[in-house]
Amino acid sequence: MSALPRHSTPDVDLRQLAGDHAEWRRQVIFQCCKWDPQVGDTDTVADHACILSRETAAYLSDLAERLTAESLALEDALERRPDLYAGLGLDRRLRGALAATPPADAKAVRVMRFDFHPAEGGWALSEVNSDVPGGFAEASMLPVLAAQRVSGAYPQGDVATAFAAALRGKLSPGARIALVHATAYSDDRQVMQFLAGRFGQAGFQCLFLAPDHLQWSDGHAVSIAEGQAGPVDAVVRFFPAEWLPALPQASGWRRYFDARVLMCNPPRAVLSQSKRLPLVWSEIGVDMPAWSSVLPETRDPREAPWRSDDGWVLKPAMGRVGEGVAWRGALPAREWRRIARSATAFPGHWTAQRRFQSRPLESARGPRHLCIGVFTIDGRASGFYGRLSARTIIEKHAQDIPVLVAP
Amino acid sequence: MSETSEAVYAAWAPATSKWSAWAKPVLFATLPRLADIVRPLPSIGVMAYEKKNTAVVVDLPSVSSTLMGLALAEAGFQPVPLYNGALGALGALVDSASIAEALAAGAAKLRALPPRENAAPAFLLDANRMDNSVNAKSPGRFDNRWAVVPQDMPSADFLKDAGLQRVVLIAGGVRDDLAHILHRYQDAGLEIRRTADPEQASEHITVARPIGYRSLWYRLGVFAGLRRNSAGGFGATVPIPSSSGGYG
Repeated sequence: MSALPRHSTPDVDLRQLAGDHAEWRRQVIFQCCKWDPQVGDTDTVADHACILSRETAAYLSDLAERLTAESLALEDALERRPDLYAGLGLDRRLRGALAATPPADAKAVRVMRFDFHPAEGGWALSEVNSDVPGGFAEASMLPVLAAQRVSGAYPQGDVATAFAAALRGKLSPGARIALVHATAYSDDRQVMQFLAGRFGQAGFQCLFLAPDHLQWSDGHAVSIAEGQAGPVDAVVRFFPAEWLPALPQASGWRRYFDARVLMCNPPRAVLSQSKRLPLVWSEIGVDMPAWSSVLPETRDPREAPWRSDDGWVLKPAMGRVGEGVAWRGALPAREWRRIARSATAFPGHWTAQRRFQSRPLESARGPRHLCIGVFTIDGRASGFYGRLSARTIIEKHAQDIPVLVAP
Repeated sequence: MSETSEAVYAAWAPATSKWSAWAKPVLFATLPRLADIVRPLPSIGVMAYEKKNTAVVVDLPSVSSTLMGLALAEAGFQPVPLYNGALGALGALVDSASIAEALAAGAAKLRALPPRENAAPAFLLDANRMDNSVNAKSPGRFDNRWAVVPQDMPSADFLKDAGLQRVVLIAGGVRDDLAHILHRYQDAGLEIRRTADPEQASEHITVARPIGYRSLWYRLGVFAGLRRNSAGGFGATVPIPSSSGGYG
């Protein structure tokens, strides 16, 4: 790979979508499977689009591909160093399961999403979702719909199409794909529903399953779900790897770790999912130039002044989508004390990270903070997932915003 | 079904109502092909006179909640479906299909009613949403149970800004998940009343402070518990068949 480019100055702006918002919202609900369009009093469907310059889109895509390559190399190296797993904040049973080796002929599709933020000094990386990234519809269909409401900007990439193509390259036509998720959680089902539509168009048969609907034998999986019983050829998992050990032992959850069927993502992805990953880099000897260039300084909570300095952020090692992220003064005192107590009592499950200064963008509704998730499928950048927030933390109240690219 | 999912949704969540934002899309988005079935609506008795400054929460089992919503719509309320469980495949634990059928059948009735731009909301929940019956204990069943959490409903401030002063719960009791929401409303000065039978006048109640109230971790806890307990559902662990062929 060529030399790492210098920090790109974020060249991005927000543009209001034309047309009626209620109609836009309904389109997003039904065509993008957006079933959580309201969180409390907040409408989570933005009425703006995010426009990246071509140079910025290329920069972020290139960076995401470099980050993917480094993450995979790191996972390879970590698989040979199980003594470091505890330092990643992984549960004891999960560490044991990761010691199981998948067969050499095991197939996988790797999907990752890197979250970037326009910040003072360039783009900052807040996290990688390398285990169960979401936002497929938002990085596929949403830009296509938005392009009809914004002139002079176009969708770039389609993660769902790239995902289906990656599966087609490794599975037979008509293969049965288990979409494994928490079936009672409609926020998860909406992700599976969208993928099922796209995978169905690609000629696959999709099953909506809970993790314990699969029974395993010699690395092969069979669904026992009523009406969806039978062998499966691939598992697309939207159930975090670190939750698998919470299933009953008899469910056979350990078999996810040495499966022969195609896995996406394979459970070893949890190694790079941990926010404590930077704490073990130096012990592995893998070069991480891309990661080092965009990830803020990260320390063990015991080695950072987060109690007195609001320039440090606490993050749970296995947190996602801003859950549990906090810094002094960012939360009501009681909630901050609760997080601080947890980070003090269980520092191995937290990280402290230097807070980057998110650079707000102007919108018709005032300044907004942006997060651009860049998907990679098997190492190739394949789409952008935008979220917008009035607050600096991008969490559940953030709005989904289509990302388009200027010509 | 004679109309599209979007048309059914638009009937229940008209763009003209401020409460439509909270209508949950999941059942509408996955509506199967259904026959239009006309069912008689229940009487709402004195509720017809309680609509001034009053929001309603209907927490009745299955279709009876939807039908109550339609009856309240006839009396001038805006029904807001909050059903948030997927339809699922065969063997679904919660009968969401019947609710979907009632939603589809009710769309025409709602469209025939006069516009309700300023109508007070009637939030609709399925009291069977967290069913822990014996049905939940079979492997292979599709666990589509669900819970309502504070972010699923408007804040107390939003209700008060809309001129609402009290919330009437139509239910046999106050379920645990709903208590987190009603207690917030109560804390904010909204009066909470309840009736099990809308033919009877509602009575003032005090909603006890639930465990984990206002905790940042509450919602995470609900859903972490959901996943931990049954690999995709609430409540009891789904057992795996034992080697003897029974259920352990």
